[in-house]
Amino acid sequence: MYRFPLFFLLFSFSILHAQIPAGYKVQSVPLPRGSVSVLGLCHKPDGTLAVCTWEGEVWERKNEVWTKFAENLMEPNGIYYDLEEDAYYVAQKPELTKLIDFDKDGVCDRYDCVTDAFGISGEYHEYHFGPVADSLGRKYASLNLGARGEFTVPDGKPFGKGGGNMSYNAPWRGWVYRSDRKGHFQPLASGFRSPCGIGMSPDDELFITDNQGDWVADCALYHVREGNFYGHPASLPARPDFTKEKVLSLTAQDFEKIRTPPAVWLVREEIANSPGSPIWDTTKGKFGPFEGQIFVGDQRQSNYFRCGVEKVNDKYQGWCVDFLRGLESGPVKMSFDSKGRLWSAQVGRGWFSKGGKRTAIQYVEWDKETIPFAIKSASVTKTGFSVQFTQKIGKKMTPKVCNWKYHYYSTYGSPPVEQQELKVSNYQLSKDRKTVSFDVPLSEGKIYAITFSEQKNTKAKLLDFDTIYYTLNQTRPVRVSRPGRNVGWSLAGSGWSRNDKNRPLPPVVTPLPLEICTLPAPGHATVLDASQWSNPNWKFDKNGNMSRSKGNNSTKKAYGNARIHLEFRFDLSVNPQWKGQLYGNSGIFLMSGYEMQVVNSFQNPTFADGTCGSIYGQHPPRVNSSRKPGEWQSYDIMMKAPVFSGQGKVDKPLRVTAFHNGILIHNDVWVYGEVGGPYKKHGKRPLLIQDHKGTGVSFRNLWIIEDFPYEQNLPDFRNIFTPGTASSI
Amino acid sequence: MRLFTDFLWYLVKNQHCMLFIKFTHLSFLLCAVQLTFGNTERGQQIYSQICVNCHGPNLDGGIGPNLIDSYWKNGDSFDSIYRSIAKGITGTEMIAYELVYPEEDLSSLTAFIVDKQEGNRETLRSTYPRDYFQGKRLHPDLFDSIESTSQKRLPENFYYVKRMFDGILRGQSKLYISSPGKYRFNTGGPGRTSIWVNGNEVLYRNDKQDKSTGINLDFVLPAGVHDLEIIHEEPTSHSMRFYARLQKLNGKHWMLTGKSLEGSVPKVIRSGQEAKVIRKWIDDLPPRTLLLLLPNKVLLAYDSASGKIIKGWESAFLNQTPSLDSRSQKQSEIKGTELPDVAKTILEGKQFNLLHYETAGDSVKIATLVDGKQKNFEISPEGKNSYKLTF
Repeated sequence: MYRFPLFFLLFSFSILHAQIPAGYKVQSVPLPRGSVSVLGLCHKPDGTLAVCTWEGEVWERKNEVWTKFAENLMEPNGIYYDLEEDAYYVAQKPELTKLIDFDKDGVCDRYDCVTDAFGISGEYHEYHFGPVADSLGRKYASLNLGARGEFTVPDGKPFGKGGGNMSYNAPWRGWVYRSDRKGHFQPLASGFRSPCGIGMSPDDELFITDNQGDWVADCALYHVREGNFYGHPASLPARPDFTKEKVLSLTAQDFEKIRTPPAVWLVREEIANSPGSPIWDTTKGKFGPFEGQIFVGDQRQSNYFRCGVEKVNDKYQGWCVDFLRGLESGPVKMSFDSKGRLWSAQVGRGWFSKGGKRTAIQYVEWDKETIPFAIKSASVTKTGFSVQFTQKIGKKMTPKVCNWKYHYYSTYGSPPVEQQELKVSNYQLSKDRKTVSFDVPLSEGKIYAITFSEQKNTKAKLLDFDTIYYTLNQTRPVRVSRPGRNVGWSLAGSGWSRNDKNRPLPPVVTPLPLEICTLPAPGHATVLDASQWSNPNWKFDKNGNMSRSKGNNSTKKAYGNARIHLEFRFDLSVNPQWKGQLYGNSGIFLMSGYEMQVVNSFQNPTFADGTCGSIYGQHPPRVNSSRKPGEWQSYDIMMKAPVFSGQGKVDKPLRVTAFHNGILIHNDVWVYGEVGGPYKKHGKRPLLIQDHKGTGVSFRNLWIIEDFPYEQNLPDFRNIFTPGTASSI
Repeated sequence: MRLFTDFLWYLVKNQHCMLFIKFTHLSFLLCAVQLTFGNTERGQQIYSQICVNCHGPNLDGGIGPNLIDSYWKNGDSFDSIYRSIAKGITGTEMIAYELVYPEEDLSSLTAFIVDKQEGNRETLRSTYPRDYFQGKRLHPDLFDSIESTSQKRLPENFYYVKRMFDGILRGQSKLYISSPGKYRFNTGGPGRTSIWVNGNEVLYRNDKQDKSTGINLDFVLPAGVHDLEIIHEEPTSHSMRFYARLQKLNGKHWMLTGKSLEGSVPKVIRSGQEAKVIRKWIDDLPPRTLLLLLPNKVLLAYDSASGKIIKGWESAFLNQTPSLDSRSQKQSEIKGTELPDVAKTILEGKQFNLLHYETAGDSVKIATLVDGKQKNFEISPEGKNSYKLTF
């Protein structure tokens, strides 16, 4: 008799889990031959669907016919189509690869290594997820930690008993990175465990989903901000201000202080267990009443769920609610086609997915008419929450609200902590009967489950999914701070605004000795002595030192691509009023428009992108390698001038690689615009040193090599201070 | 109620299936010591004229699948193989050869292929509810009085169960033995196991009892086809921990347990008319290795991070199958004869950044940034087991 209940149980399970909102339908697509695990998919504007498989193939589907585009890749875990370059990008396990079909015969002709600058030890779990791209065409991808290795962060607990298992076996594991172009690699943010989901919002904001495990209390959606740490400490040794020893000497309390919490916790079992990539509904209503919302799929739950975020105190937080259940396998990557259908690459592969199939390709389509009865979104108010519905609700039924928090520790996952039911008061319904609001006690750092189990619409229908989960990182402030000044460009993909006070300060490191950094002018350089400058107020003394003076000072000659060396010194000041941006402020304006900041940053904190060595308002230096005021310091800069199109649009932005006191502070960064505004077409322009209010600054040993070829000198230039590397530049 | 009747019908069908299996069981016992299934000469002739083009001279596959490995997607009994040849396989290049050859030719060809088999074949997995077996010693006779909960032919020809499996595993299969001699089973994992060969129990173990009560016999197998039955029970866990292999004393062994390919089919990458660049996870090779498979079946492992060829093989191909099981946690493997003295520094320098790779006819072209300077080279086949390097 044993098998009867089992049989019926299985059957009823499948009914329970096929929950498709009214107006939507799910369609399956036949798989290309030999596809066992479809890991990624994307669409071309002409309607072509491209998928990549774990087995190492890329297939294109046109007019319902599959053709093989590329093969023999290593576990490509995501695919992106670059319209401008008419090429696919795939995240092979060991490298980010561009697949180019020169003769347009539908078969890849050349495999370009875009970047392989991250480490890989060969441990199986070192997945590479992505890429996605921002509006400047730059690619972003994420790097999984290893699951077996020596460097784990147990925080005092034994292995196998809560002591952490994910390990750091090679550089940049557990990080998210950006690659601006072939050969470029810029690590962005650390602290990820298994960042399987990666997505770029229509506003160029990067989001990651991570899988629960050690140091990750639950699955989560993170807003990625350059330089931030998101919680898994095994990734920290890659940071210039950490070593493995330092990481092991710290405890969860220490990591808690520097960690950025997720924007949305994706509640285990209810919403997700292994979330995939987020995608934004940009279909302008073709996919139903959820325009602008974030859709994510979950590998275990075989569902699609929705998320929304709002900025409180300049930081994102928000909600998640289930949307659709009953997919064939576990969705990991998604793509909207031009008809507004939401496609997903699904895989169950070894990890159990409720859908049951090992892999599938499915899309979800809306009938363009039926509005399903659903919780649409939620928002925190000063005293509670407001919740929006897609339809008018019938008799208002007070929801049940409970909240909890999670442990932050080395143990695998966290149970809900301090879970409690809350008293709901002041329950209000809006005139259009679509929004309710209520008061509950608000406590920061908690997740709120708001359940409308008995709420019906005006046709007496219950909700398909009755609970919305809100992650309350912060309550609404009494006063809203003003955003940074908008000067016409955005820090695409970095997550910050200009002069953002929340941006982490660059880690402090020890500079190289002055004698190593004092580089004499090579023969082919132009020495920028008194004869080369145009502002007569700036005078050289008998030692060859030039003091900042009234008015900016430009070179008489104009320059483009260049290699620049200069030394500077801040006058020592004992007056405590001269601090922050007023302690020795000047600036090196490359081509008169792009400022590398000169300000005393030795034990004199200021905002990150105004630190000494920053590309002002844009890129903080990678590290703060300042010397004390009164001591000479050096900049070694190599820059590639921006290239403009005939219409005046910037085609190739300015690129900068620079050292401060012999330490690399910019590794081939891309400058977003001029210090005060967007790019304006220009040719060669003078080098300019800024006059600025503040204590005194002097300069010496200034020289420039003009028309210095950037690209071909970059590898050598990166090594000018590497011991044992003889370099002529 | 409809569901209930459906379910009863399902039981009836299974019963029917059981009877059928019993019948074939007996018929095979009769030919247990006979390896050849009839005249294979004509079959060999047809094979070398037609089949060889897709399945290879050694039957180990090419365009078509390998015919001597354990994996048989469309069945590996004489009848199944005959049917595949006669009726063809829809959606593949395998046509219905009953339109080409008379019946006796097809029988001879089938016999030729069956004759080449070795190891565990015709693997049938049945599962039974655990509670019926509580307190009873595992024995094939028990199955006469209880219905199975599932029955499946396993194309992998080894045993596995679903995760969190809660029941009794029963495996029935044929052992194809071409090398007569003394054999033994090696088993491990928790629970209790009973193994029978040609109706004799050769192994019994129960981890809850004193080891001395178990048996583990060496036994002699003549060349031919033998019956194997495995019965196993263990506590429910994420995945089955039982393993079993058949070991010829001082000889080969065959795994009888393993991970399911979960519906996928074995994948082998072979050389073709054009060169291939393959990126795969291989034991003992750095992850940034490019595997260059040339048309002369020479396979070179070029490490793009050091500019060196680190290993090479002749008559080589790449077997991706081991990596295709559930979580894909096993590496692909290179098959072939390792070439001696093949290690070679192609690019001298300190820092290597791979720029791109492409194939051009029978050659591979690779571009690398070596200490900031672009270096290009080309690798082409030369002779039977060598290659040519051009800058």
